[in-house]
Amino acid sequence: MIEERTKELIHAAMDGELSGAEMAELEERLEESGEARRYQAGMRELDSFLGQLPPEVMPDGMHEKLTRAVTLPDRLAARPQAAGWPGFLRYGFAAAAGLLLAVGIYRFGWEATAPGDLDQMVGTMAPGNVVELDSFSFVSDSVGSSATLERRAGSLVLNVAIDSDEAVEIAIDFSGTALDFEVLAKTDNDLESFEYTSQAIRVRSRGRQKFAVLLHPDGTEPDRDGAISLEYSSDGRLIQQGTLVPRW
Amino acid sequence: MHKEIEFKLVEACKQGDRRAMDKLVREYERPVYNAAYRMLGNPDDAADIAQTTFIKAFEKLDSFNPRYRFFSWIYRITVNESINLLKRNQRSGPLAGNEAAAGPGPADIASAGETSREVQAALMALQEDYRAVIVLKYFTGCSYREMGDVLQIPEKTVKSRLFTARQQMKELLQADGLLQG
Repeated sequence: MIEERTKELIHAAMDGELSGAEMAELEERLEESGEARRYQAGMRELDSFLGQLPPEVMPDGMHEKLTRAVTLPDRLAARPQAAGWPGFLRYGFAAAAGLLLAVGIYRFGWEATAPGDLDQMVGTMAPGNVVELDSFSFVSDSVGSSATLERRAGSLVLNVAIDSDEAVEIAIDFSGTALDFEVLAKTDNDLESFEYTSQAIRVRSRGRQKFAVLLHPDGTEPDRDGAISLEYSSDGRLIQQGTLVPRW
Repeated sequence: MHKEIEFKLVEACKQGDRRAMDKLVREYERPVYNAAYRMLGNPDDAADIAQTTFIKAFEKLDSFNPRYRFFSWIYRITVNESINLLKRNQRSGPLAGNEAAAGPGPADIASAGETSREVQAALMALQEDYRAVIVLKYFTGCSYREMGDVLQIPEKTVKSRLFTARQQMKELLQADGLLQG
C-alpha cells in the first residue's frame, strides 16, 4: 500500500513542482518502498507516452480563416500616427560602428541569468522605485520586440525583449543623451554577439531573448530632446527603427 | 512568447492593429486547436471552437486582465466553449445532428494515427473536469498555476484533479494495451 503523500510527491516531481526538501523526502520514500518505485515508473510511462504524442495538424487554411473571422476596434483609422513611430530619429549607427569593440558579456565579471538576478543586480546598483519613462514595440512578419526605458534612482535601465525567427541585429545608440553604457545583463538565451562603445551597443540575437542595459549619466548637461535610438536589422536589411526619450 | 511582447501585442490589438492580432493568432492557434480537439474528439468541432475562441477573445479584449497571461485567457475560453458544446450536444442527443461529441467519426479515425485515436478514446471516457486538466497539462504545457488561472480553480484543486485524471488515464490506456503498467 502506497501512502497518498508518496503518490502526491511522485506526481509533483513529474511536473517539476517539488522543492528541494520535498525532493529529498520523495527520494527517501522511494528508497524504502519498491511499490512506490513501481508506481513512479508507471506514472512516468504515462507521462512520457502522453508527452510524446504529436500535435494534431490544423486543417488547411485555418490561420487565414481565423484571422478573417476576427474583428478589431477600428481605432487606428481615427489617428493613423498613433501606433506608429512619432519622431523617428534617423541618425545612423554607422559612425559608432567603427569604434565598436567586440567583447563578451562575461568581461564584466558577472552574469545575470534570470529576471530575479537582474532585479537584484540593478536594485543593488540603483535602489529605489522603478518609473517607466518611455516604451515602444513592433511586430513584423518574423520579428516582435518591445523596449522599455525605466528610471531606477540615479540610473536608467533599458529592457529589451525580442522574439525572432531569424538572426536580428539591434543597434542601440545613446550618444545624444548624456548617458554612458555601464553594463548589460541577459536573462534568457545566449546572445549571438555583443559589442559596445561608451555610447552605443550592438547585439545580435535569434529566437526569444531578453536583456537589460544599465546606463548612467556621463556628467554632461543632458539634451532634453535627446533620444536613445534603436535600429533592428537582418542581413543588412532594416526591419524597424524607434526611439526612447529619457525625459530627465 | 515573452509576457512583455504579448502585452504590447494585446495593446496594439486594442488600437486596431491587425498585424499584432495576426501574430497572437499565429502563436496560439495550434495549441487552441489541439486543446479543443482533445476536449471534443472531432476536428470539425475543434476548428469551430478555435474560431469562436479567437473571435470572443478579440471582441472582449478590453476586459482582458493583464495580470494574467493572454494564453490563460484564450485557453479558458477554449475549455469553456468546448464544455458548452459538449453539453449542448448531450442535451440535443445524437439524433439531433451532431454525433461527433461521442467520439471521432469513421473519417476521423481513418485520418488520425491509431495511437492518437486510442488516446482520444481514453480522454473521452474521462469526466470533462479531468479531461481538461490532462489536455492543459499535456497538450498546452500549462503549469499548475497556469491551469489554475485557466480553470479558475485553486492550485490545490488542479493537483488533485490531475492526480485522479492521471490514474484514470493510466488504467484506460493499460486496458487498451498502450501502457504496460
